[in-house]
Amino acid sequence: MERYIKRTCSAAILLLILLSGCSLLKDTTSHLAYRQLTELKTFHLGFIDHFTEEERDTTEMNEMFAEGRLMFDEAIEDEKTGANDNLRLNTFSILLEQFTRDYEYLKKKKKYTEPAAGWLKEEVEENYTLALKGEQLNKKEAK
Amino acid sequence: MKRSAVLNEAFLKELKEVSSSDDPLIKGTAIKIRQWLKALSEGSISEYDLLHLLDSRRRKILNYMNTLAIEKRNQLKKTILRIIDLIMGALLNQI
Repeated sequence: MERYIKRTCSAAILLLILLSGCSLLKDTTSHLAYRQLTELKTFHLGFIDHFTEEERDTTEMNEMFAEGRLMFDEAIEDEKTGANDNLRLNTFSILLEQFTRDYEYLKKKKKYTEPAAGWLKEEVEENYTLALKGEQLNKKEAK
Repeated sequence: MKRSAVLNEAFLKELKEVSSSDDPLIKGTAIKIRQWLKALSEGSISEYDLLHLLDSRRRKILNYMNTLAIEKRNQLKKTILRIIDLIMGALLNQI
């Protein structure tokens, strides 16, 4: 009987550890994605600001794009090796697509004018806000 | 090429009607497009800028549509996406 109780207790403790581990994993990935999205948002908006009104060197444009692209790649890779959540991966790819399009626009036009940058930043900001709202919900669910 | 050329199309009236839609996405997009068209007519943004903004919005709607029921998708296709496509088509002819 004593043996049975010990086994049951051990199984229960193991189950609790596993459950808390899953919860912790979900919470951690959500926090990581939230942080990455916040950083990407700042970078993306900064990218538009940096090339507004002032025509800069193409090399600088390419380097800044490559830096942003790397940030996206790392976020996607972290997600793939972490929670591998399809919805989150889709979100990152949508934002990357927007970032790439903004870069392509810049390659053609060399700079953003103040009014065009203003409208574009509204669109970009809204995309990130939606993505961050999704992560806030994930964090609440994880608690 | 006149900046007002895009504004003279028949869809402008339709765009105004859609601006009072109950759907926040349709309404919000229609209002935004009217603001962009106004900016274009005032010369503060170019046709290429407008095309880029419309393209961004169009992709956003398409992504959002994946989460919706078929009926709702069709509603979006018949209203705001059709208008966006018409304007983008007109712009592409001008650029």
